[in-house]
Amino acid sequence: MSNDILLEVKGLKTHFPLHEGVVKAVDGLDLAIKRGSTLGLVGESGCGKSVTAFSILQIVGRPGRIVEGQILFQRQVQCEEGVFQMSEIIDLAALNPRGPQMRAIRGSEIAMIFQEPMTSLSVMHTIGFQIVEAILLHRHISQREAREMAIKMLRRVGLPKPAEWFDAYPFQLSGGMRQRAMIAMALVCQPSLLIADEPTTALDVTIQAQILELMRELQREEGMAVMLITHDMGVVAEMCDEVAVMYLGEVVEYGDVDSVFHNPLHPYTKALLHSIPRLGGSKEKELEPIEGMVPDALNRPSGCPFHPRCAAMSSRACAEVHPSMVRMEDGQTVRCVLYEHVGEPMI
Amino acid sequence: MSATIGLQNEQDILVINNLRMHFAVQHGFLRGVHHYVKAVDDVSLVMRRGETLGLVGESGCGKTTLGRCIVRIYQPTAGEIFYRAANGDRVNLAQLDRKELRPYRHELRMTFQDPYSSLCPRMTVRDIVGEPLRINRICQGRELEDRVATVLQRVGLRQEHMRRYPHAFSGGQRQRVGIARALVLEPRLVVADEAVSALDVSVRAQILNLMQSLQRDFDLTYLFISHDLSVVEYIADHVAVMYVGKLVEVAETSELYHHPKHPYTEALLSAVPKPDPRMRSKRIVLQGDIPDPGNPPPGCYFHPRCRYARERCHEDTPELRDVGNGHIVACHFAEELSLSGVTALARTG
Repeated sequence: MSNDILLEVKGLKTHFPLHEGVVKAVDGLDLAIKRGSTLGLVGESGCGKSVTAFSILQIVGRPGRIVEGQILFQRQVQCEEGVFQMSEIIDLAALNPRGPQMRAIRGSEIAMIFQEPMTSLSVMHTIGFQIVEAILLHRHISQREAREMAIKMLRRVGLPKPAEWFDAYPFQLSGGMRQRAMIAMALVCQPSLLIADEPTTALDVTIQAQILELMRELQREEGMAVMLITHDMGVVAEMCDEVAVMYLGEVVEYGDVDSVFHNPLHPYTKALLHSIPRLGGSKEKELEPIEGMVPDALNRPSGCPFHPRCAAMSSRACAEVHPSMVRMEDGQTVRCVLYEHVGEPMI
Repeated sequence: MSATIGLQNEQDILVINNLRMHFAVQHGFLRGVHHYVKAVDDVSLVMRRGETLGLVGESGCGKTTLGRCIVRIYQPTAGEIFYRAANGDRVNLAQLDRKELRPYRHELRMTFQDPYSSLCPRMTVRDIVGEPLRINRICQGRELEDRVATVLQRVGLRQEHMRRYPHAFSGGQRQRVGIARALVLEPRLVVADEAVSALDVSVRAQILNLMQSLQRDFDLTYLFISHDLSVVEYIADHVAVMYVGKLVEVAETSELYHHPKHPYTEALLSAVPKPDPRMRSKRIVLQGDIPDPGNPPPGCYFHPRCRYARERCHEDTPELRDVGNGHIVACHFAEELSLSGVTALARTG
C-alpha cells in the first residue's frame, strides 16, 4: 500500500442473512481513497453505497455483517517528539466493532455526516451537548475547554452567534443550520477521513451550495479526505476528484472525475449520465431513462448484474459470466465484458 | 399581469388574479389571532391550454399552497381563479362553494409530493385509483375495474397490479399509481407537486417521459411544482419563480434560464450543481436562510440576501411588471442589471 493512500477497501462483502435469503448489500467491493482527495460514490438507491460507509465505520445494523474482505486504514502515528511521523496500517474489518480500537477511530479519525440531519441528531439533547460529548470521548480535556472548542467549531462552519445556538435543540434550527451543526460535530476531532452520506439531498439548492462550499473550504484547510456518497451527478462533478460508480454492491467503473464524465466506459455510467436533464441542454432530445429498476436484492441476476437493463448487452456471455475488473490505458477501471479484451486485467 | 378581467384569450385555461392565501397563527388561551403567515401573497398567473407551467422556489415559499388553492383544497383568502371549463363556461373557482365546485373537481386534479405517504396502505391499487370514479358516481363494478385497468396500463403498470397494496411497489411505481389516480377522471389540468423529487435519477427520467407523453395524448395542462431547476427546464414551457409567497419572475423557459432578470433567479440557477466537472465555476452563494413568511423583511423580500440591493430595495416593494417579450419580473433594477443565466452545455458521454 503506497503512502498516499489513506483507506483501501479490498474485496469487501457485507451480507444480511434474512429468513428469505441472504441480501448481498456489498459484494466484492474494491476502493481506494487518497489522502486529502475527494472520492464520489454514486449509484441508484439500493446499490449499497450507505452500507459501504457503515462497513468502514463498523456500524452495520443487525443482522448485517462483514463476511469477507479487508478495510485497510493507514493512520499517522505521532511519536512523542512530535516531528517524526510513522504510519501504521490497520484492517478495520478485523477489529471488534465494539472494541476500544474501533471506538477510538470512529468519530475521531474517521467521521461521518449522515443523510438526514433531523433524524441523526438526538432530539433530546442540545447541539452543544452533542458536540461536547463527541470531543470528550476522544480528547482528554476539561468540559469548559470542550465547550470552547465546540463553539469555535460552530463558528467555523458558519453558524451565526454560535454561543447562543450552542444551547439550542435541533428542532429549533433550520435544515441548513442542522447540517452545519452535524458537520461541526464530525469535524471537531479533525478526522483524516470524512464520510458524507448524501449531505445535501434534503436541502434546497441555495442551501446546498452553501454547504458544498463550506465542505470544500474546510477540506482545503484541514487536508482531510472525503468520501462523498450521493446520487446527484451534479454534486459529484462539482466536488470530487475521483468517482466510483456502484451497481448492486460492486464498483462497475472507477476513474478520475473528468474521464468518468467525459469518457464513460460502462453502459451503466453512460445510462446514468444520459438520464439526467442538464441545465441549458436542448429540450427536443428526450431523456433516455434506464429501463426497469434496480433488481430485488434477494434475486440477483446471473452473470453481469446489469445485463437485464443494459442497452449494450451484446452476447450470451453477459447473462452467464460475471465480468472482472479491467484497467484501461489511462488508469480508468471498468467491469464489463465489452472491455475484457481491451483492458489489462487487475490482480 | 395583463389579464385583469380573465380569460379573454382563447388559449388561457386558468387565470389567477391577486390570489392570497393567508393562514392565521393563533396564540394563547383565547386562541386570538397572533399574526398571519402570508403563504401566497398577491399572485397573478396565466396558464395556457396544453402547456406546462413550472413553478420553482425554495421550500417554504408557497409553491404547494398555490397548487392547493388551484384545486381548491384550500379556500383562498382573497383573489380570483378564473377557469375555462370543458363545456366553455368561465367560472371563478375561488368563489364557488363545495356544491358548485363538484362539476369541476374532476377537471382539476393533483398528484402529491410523497409517493409513500399519499397512498393509503390499507387500500388496494384498484380501490385507490377507482375511488375518484366511485365518489363522483361515474361508474362501478365491472366498468370501474375496466377503466382502472386501462389507466394503469397507460401509466405503465400491469392489470394484475390492481389487487396489490402500495407497499408492494417501488417509489417509481407508486408515483405511477398517483398519476393514474389523477388521470382516471380524465382531467384537463393537473397540478403535479414535486412529481419526481423522491425518485432515483434513472426512474425520474421514466416518469418525466411518461408525463410528457400523457400530456400529448390527453391534451393536459400541467402546473409542475418543483425545486429542481434542471427538471423544470426540461419539462416546462413557461416558468414562474416564487420567493416568500410572491412571484418574482415569470417568463418563457429558455428566456428565463438564459436571460434571468431577477437576482434571485440568477442565484438559483448558479447554485445548481452542473453535471460536468469542466464547468466548475464560482457560484453565487446566497447567504442566510429564506425569511419567515410570517414576518417577512420590509421592502423587497429578497433584499437581505441580494448582492445588488440598494437603498430603494429596503423600503419599496417592487411590483411585477412586463419588461418586454412577456418577461415579467418584480425588481426595481431589472433593466439595469446584467445577470448571467445558464450557458449551454454540450451533451457528453
